Amino acid sequence: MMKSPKKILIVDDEPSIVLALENILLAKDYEVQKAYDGKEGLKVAQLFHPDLILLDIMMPFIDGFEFSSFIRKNKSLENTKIIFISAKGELTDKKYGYSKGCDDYIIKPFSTEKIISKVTFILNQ
Amino acid sequence: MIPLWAIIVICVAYLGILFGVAYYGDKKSITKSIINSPLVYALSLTTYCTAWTFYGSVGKAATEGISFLATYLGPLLLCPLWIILFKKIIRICRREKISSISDFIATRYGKDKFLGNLVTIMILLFIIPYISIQLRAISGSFNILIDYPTQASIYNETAFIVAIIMSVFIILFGTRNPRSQERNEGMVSVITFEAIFKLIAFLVIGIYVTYYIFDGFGDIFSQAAEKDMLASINNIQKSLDGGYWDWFMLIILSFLVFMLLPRQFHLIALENKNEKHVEKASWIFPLYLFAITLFVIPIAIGGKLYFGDTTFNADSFILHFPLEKGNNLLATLVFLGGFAAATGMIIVETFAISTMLSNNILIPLLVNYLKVFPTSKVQKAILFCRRISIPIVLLSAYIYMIVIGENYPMVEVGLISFVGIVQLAPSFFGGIFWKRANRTGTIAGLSIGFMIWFYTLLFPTLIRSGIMGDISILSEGPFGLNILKPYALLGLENLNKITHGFFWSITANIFMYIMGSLFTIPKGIEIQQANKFIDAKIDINDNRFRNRYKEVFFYQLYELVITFLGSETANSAIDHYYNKYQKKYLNNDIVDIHFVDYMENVLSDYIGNISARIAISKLLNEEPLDRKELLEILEETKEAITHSKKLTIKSDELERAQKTLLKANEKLKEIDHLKDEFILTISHELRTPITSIRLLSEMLYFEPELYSEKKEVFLKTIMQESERLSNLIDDTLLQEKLELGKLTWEFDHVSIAELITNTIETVAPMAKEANIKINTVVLDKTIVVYADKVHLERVLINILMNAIKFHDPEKDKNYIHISSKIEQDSITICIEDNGVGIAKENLKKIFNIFVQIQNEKQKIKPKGSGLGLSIAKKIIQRHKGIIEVDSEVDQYSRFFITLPLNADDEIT
Repeated sequence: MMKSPKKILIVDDEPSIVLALENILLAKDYEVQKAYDGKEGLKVAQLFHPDLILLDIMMPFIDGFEFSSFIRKNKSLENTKIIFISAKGELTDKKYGYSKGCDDYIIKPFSTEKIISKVTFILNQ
Repeated sequence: MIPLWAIIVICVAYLGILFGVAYYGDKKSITKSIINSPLVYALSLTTYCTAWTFYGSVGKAATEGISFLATYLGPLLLCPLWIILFKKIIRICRREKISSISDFIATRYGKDKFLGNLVTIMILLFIIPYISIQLRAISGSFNILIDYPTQASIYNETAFIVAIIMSVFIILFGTRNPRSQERNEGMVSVITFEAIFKLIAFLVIGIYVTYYIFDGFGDIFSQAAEKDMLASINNIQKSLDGGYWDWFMLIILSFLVFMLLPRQFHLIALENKNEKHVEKASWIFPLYLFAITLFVIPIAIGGKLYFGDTTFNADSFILHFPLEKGNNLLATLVFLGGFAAATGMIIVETFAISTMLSNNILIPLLVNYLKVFPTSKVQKAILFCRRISIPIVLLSAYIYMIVIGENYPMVEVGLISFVGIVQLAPSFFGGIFWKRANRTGTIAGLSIGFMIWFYTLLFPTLIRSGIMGDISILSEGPFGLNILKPYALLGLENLNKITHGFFWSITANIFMYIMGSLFTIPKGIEIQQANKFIDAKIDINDNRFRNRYKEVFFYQLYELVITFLGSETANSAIDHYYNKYQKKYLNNDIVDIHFVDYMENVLSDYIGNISARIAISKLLNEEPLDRKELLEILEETKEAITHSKKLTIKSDELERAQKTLLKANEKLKEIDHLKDEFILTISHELRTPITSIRLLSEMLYFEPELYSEKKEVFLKTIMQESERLSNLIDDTLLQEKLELGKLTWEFDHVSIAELITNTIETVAPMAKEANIKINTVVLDKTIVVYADKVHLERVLINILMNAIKFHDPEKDKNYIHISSKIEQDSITICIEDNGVGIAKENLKKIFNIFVQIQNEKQKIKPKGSGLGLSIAKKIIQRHKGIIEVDSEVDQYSRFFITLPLNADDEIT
């Protein structure tokens, strides 16, 4: 019997990044949802119960750090993993990222291969 | 009437109590001092309130109204200065072993014997009459008590007996300790006791008159109002013949004498246990003054109402009230209050001026003729000098009272004394604040002040009592010279005689003091002493001004010290020196000058500064530096000062330079920080498009089976992102060039109409795609601005592109409207759109670098560098123009660009 596909949520205010990630993940048979800012992302997350969130840090309204704090407070989302997508500037201190509740992070620019291996690794843990 | 024997018994009992208190205070001082408190310090200073104030202020208030307050206002005004002034003086006295105010002045101006004698004699002349009026107050009140109401007999013996008892008291409790720096605890205890006693007595009689005889303050004042008496009480000008001037003079006078009266100086500076007491005392003392003056006016008015026009002297109202009512107990209490006020003053004043007499005149005399005495007798002779001075002073006061004093009102005698004492003010205050003040100036000032005091104040009293001169001198001047009339010198007529004498004596005194100090050269020791007094905090040891001296063997110095102190005291002083400085001398060692100074200081403590100086000077065979040498040293000092001033200026300059550098550095740091921030942001902005280009092209490459629509979307995105990258790089470079001022400008006359047309052509395709209509109001082509066409076009395009980017797709009709308005010397271009608008909080920061305003409707991050408007602002600024924005969310956005017309020169 086939297992139901893992669910991944992409939250990023850059449409081109969302477009790329969405297509990469769909090609690997994940179930994908997307949001273009933190507010929308939270709404989707509560309905969608993703296994993993790919989360941009610098976003308007609610940034990635705040976003992950919300997720971590939510009991129903306690098994959700988070990967930060960083443009480097905001993640000079890795510890800070981890303290904010991420499971891994990836710094732009990155290759298709790298993001796939990270996602696979995190979801198989 | 109270029987004589009863009063004598009471007086003896009271004096017995005083002796008891003094004995207790002295004995306690061995274990735990009872006077070591700010309260005691403040109370002891109320010795300022003598019998004169105890009886006299009611008398003065009855005749002159509230002007009696002047003698209290002076000291009150001084209170805020206590902390600075008193502390400095206390410190000087402690270090310089000062024993009296005349010693203070003599020591300040070179430990000078002549000056010591002069000041002491002056003070004796000023103060003995003042003590005599206290004796008179005692015998006067005694007479009233015994003979009320006839007052026929006069018992002057009272004063004599009091003088004798006081002498004994002071000898017992004041000369017990040969050291001037030891506190006289017994004496201070008595003073404190008497301060409390006189206050209680005055308050009791005040309450008795106000609430028993009358019906409270209100009653007294309303009765007085009925008889029209209030006006004279409340009006200062009417109540004194010289008006406000006299009042003002009285305040100044009491302000100064509060510190200068020998007893006050003694209590302030020499009996102070702890410098810190000054602070608390400076507010306790005014409270005491307030309490003791509270009932003065009610008693004065009450007396006038009650006794009417009887011949009673208003000074003794407070005694008459209880006697009239037959309340002998209360009368006795009042009498004892006055007795306390008088004896308190007599004790300290006599002690202070007898110390002067012995330390400044008698002992120096003895030291000068030391060879006459066998060594073993010297110490006894010194003690004798101290003791004999006391009865000399008191008996002189008694004799003055019998011979001269009877003829004059107490107030006049007291004020004449005050004016005399004030002559010390210039040399005293100048001595602690003015380094240049010297001995010659002091002697000149004091002498002229004294002479004028004598001529304008004392001489007339001698004429009037028939002791000296002819009465016509007063009305016509000596030898018929009107201009020299003692009460109207140089034609100064309108003041009362005290104010007049005060004015002339103090003016001449100050003048001579300043002139004498400015135009004569001081001796070396004067310069040394001046430094010690003025820089009271620092211990200066400047040996350059020292007299030339011969070397001295230890045994010579030792013998000298033993002569005065005895071997026990001398040895303990030498031990103390050894403990402190680790230096011990043998008999035939030549002693260091530091040790000589130390021993002189020790001697000063026992025989006074002047005597110690004389003794040491003789031993060292001193020879003062001559004028030439002194001038050389002074010149050197001057040079050193100028030099150090120059250095100060230089270091100031350095400091300023350093500050400027620091500021520049701060600015650089800030710029550096901005630079870092800029690079960080740029790299961040670059990372995103590169990432999406990479991911999308990888996908196109690795997944050839993608749908063609998807391929198209991917490729389009890659193109857009590439364009974004190149725009970003362009903008960044432009921004950088603007920032560094490296952008090249090509200014020319540019037609606004043409400029707008060109811009619209550029953006037209994009506008069409978004279905936006662009309108313009046709503008006269001849209107030109001085501008760089390319850059200005870039600004307009940027704004139009923004307008297109932020159009509201939900609206039916989208438009951009370009208009312009010409004013006298400027043109304003307005670009309005009906897009999504800009929130209020973002309006301000929209021109800042890297600000990208998000709008909720589009939800997608706007594509752009975030540099556009910041660059636009800089370009407009370069054209001396202004760019502004106004917007309402969902309604419109308006950008205004104002450029100057005819400003070619300004721009280039």
